[in-house]
Amino acid sequence: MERLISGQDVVVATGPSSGKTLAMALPIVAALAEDPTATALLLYPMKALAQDQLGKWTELARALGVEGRVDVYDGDTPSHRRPRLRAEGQILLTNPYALHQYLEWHHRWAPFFKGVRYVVVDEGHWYRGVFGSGVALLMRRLGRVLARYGADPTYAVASATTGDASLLGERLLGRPVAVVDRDGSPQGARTWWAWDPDLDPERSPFVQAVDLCRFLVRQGSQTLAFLPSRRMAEALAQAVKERLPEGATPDSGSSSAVASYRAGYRPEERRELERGLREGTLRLVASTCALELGVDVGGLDAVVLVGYPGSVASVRQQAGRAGRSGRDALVVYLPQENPLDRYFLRRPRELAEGKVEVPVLNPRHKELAVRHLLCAAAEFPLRRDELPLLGAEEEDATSLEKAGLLAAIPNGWSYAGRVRPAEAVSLNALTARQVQILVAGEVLETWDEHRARREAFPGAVFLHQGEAFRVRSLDLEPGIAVAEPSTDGLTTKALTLEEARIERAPSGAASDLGLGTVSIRETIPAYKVLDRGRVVDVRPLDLPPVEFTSEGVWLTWGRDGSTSRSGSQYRDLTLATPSPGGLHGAEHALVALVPLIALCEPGDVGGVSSVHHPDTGRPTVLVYDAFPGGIGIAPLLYARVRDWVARTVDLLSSCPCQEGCPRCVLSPRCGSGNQPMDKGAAWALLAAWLAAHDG
Amino acid sequence: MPPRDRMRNRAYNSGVDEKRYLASLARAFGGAGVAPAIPPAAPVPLGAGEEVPTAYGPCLALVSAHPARLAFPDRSLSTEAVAQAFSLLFGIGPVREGGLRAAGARTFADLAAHPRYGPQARGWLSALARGDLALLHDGISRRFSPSHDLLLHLLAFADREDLVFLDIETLGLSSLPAFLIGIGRLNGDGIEVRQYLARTLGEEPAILSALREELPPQPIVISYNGKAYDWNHLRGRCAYHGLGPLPEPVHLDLLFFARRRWGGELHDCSLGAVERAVLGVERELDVPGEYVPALYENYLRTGSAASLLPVIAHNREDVLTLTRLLSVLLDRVTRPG
Ligand SMILES: [Zn+2]
Ligand SMILES: [Zn+2]
Repeated sequence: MERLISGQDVVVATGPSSGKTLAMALPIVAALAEDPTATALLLYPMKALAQDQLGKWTELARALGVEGRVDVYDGDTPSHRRPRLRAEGQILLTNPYALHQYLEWHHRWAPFFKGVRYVVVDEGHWYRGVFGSGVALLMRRLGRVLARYGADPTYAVASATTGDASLLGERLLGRPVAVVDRDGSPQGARTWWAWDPDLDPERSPFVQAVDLCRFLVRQGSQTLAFLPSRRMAEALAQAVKERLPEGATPDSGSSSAVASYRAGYRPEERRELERGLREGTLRLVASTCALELGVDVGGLDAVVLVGYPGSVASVRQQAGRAGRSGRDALVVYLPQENPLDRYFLRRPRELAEGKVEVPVLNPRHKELAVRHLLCAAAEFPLRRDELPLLGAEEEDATSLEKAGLLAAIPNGWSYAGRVRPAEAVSLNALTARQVQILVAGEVLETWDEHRARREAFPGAVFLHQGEAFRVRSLDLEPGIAVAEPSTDGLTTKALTLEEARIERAPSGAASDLGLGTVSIRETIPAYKVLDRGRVVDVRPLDLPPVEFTSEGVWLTWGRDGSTSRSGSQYRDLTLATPSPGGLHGAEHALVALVPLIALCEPGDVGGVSSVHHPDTGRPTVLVYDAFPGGIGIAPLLYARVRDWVARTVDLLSSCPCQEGCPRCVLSPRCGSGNQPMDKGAAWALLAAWLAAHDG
Repeated sequence: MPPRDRMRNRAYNSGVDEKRYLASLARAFGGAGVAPAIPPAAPVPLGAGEEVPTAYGPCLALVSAHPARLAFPDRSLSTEAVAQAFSLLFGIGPVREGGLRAAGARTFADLAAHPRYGPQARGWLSALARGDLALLHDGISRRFSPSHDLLLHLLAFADREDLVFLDIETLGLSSLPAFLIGIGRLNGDGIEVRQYLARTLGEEPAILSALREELPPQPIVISYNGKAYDWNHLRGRCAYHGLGPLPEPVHLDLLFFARRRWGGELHDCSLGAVERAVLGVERELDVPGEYVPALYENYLRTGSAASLLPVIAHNREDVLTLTRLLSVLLDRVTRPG
């Protein structure tokens, strides 16, 4: 932490609850106590989190003798208190959504902004994907505004362990950062179990999870189970309750000692739950991932992960709930039926100790950068030399001038639009056009149009904080989708047909590997309705195709299955010439394992395979970033392609199936019904590619 | 597979070309659309305007002279009025004031030797004697509402040249550009209205700069809702363009006085409504305020002053109405009794 004092920007990457906040807060608060004119701005990804943390900061500030005010300043701050906080606040906690609105009013913030010596970004791993990219651009705007007030603060990003903390810090802040990597929390040993549900084909994986939790509670372990949805969490809690005796002593577990938890609980309810866990009256809590953040439950005896939560980083967060100092704890991993879940069943060690994914974010995203450029222009007139800082070029500014959104002034441009850009730009949306998801007349979520077209088709079921909703109608012109709560437990999966053309690829790259700009055309011909994972219906859709430009990575093979550099010694690996089934299988498996490399959701990428792709002229598998403009996934895949392909080869060789199954090459989203499919050929193609690429 | 050339030439968004992309941005942010920019030098028949140079480039000034009858309060009467307001002194409420008056005190002069209130009373007397407008304004504003008659009495201590009647036109509320700043200054027995016009939005820093050069060091701003809006807006725009802070004015916002005086009879206290009811003025063909941004934008798009002239006239009328309204308000305080 000496770095922080000496003014160096840092990323503090640690495990959960290892006191990262305290380690960071101490030097900052001490510095502010010494200089009453210095201030600190603390960013939390959500309002509730800032409220949660206020107490800690206040306490520390008081203990060290900070004179100014310590408070939360956000949308909930009553307007009569605001001028005073801006004038007298020394430590202010806020969130990116609020800051995004305030920057334009900088002259009112002058007293506070002039003094900013520290900017703290807590829960840094939260800033990824579209939101993270938007916040990264917001941080550049903040730095620019502060510089105009003569402030040159030190930045500190606190983050749960991430794959490449310095890269995260650099992308988020736009400047190089030092990494402080440590885990200071006192913990006992953790034992990890990987539970293979296939070993007991008589009982469903869910019933096995119920029995496992009941067993843990009965033998006295205080247990926390994480499930993918609220429905599953409630079902598990209910099933365990039914199997436990009433009124037994708490330690052996009674039905009243079981609860479920989800997002959206009021603070009192959360405190109640925290108390129950701390005092030991609660023996089992079945939760959605909502419990990951900001709820202090202390250390438990056991954590059960039902299904892979989507990232190793999440696994670490969730597993981190197990174990209090000096006592051993158990973490059980129980996979569901898909390639990612399956992958980790064979490699629990990777869950426990392996590398964590790198969060993807792309502050160079053209369309986002242009929109934040307008926000910046409304904060201070743009100078020519500031454009690169904001990820823009002169060309962008002149087009915006043509559109009447910027006006040329001496030495630059001023904002000339009719609406406040901060109002028109959402930190959560990639494109300017947005769709509001209405439930009972209230806005539940706001999606950009691209996402809505892919995921909010009539009939689609989506989860909001673990709760299921079904879309009734989608109207792109006013940008409204109407949805209703769905209680029947059915889920949906869109089938997707993809076409990809390579628009631009840097020349000179190896011919068996490429990275470049791609044009994508996705059609959703139908969607599946599933009941507990089983397909009960396939309903056709008549939607116009979604077309967009993005970034993609492609692998190619020679016509005979060799890669450009492969010698004849690998040719026997390919079993046959690259067949449509082999390429198709390789595409599915590669797409399925993308989240191992780049922190994103499975639907955030798509794939295309072809025995003769018109743009490479060779057998090709292409994987693309499904966000228009690209959110940074493809460059990461390109940089870590060996790791990615090797793990995919591993998945294919370790799956016990013969013909291919949902745990390896069969994709529930495949628009061509997983036909043709050849798992063996897929394995051989990828192994040959890897061997050639290594050589 | 779609034909190659259709897949190409695509901007960042889902299947849009650059023009449509820019148009969609313009829609989202309310820009003027893809239209040729108007060069400032284009001959625009805006009437008798003169180009004024500023440190931030040129802008246009439209100057007109009008008769104005404004009788300022008499200095000795106003001094008397202020000196009688015991409740200006900290620590004096209605009860204590009653006691002091019963004991024979009439003005601050009678309290000058008072053990408790003497220092404050002497301070006020000295400020009144010096005619220290800023101090008097500050003291009265601290104790009384912004519509108190004593604030009008302050004009007895003012230099007529320091009065600035102010009204501005902008592209919208909050932090959007201002394009027309109208100010009225008294001279002789008339008023000169100067309107600084940004012929392109790029000239906004120039009109702000022209205003700053025009403002006296200690201006007395007369506005209608200008505390919340016009002055505030100008302050924000100056900060935006990095022009440095505006002087801290003595600000008489006539909206407050109008509300106190006529709010009971008129439920609408907008400038137009007060003008009609109190001054009996009925404007021909006035521009409703909400159309102002669209008219300016039309001017930007077409380069034709046809849509702008009514806005300029509207702004000039607003400035003149401020002088008439102030005159009516002053009538009461200048008339003894
Ligand atoms: Zn399999
Ligand atoms: Zn497929």
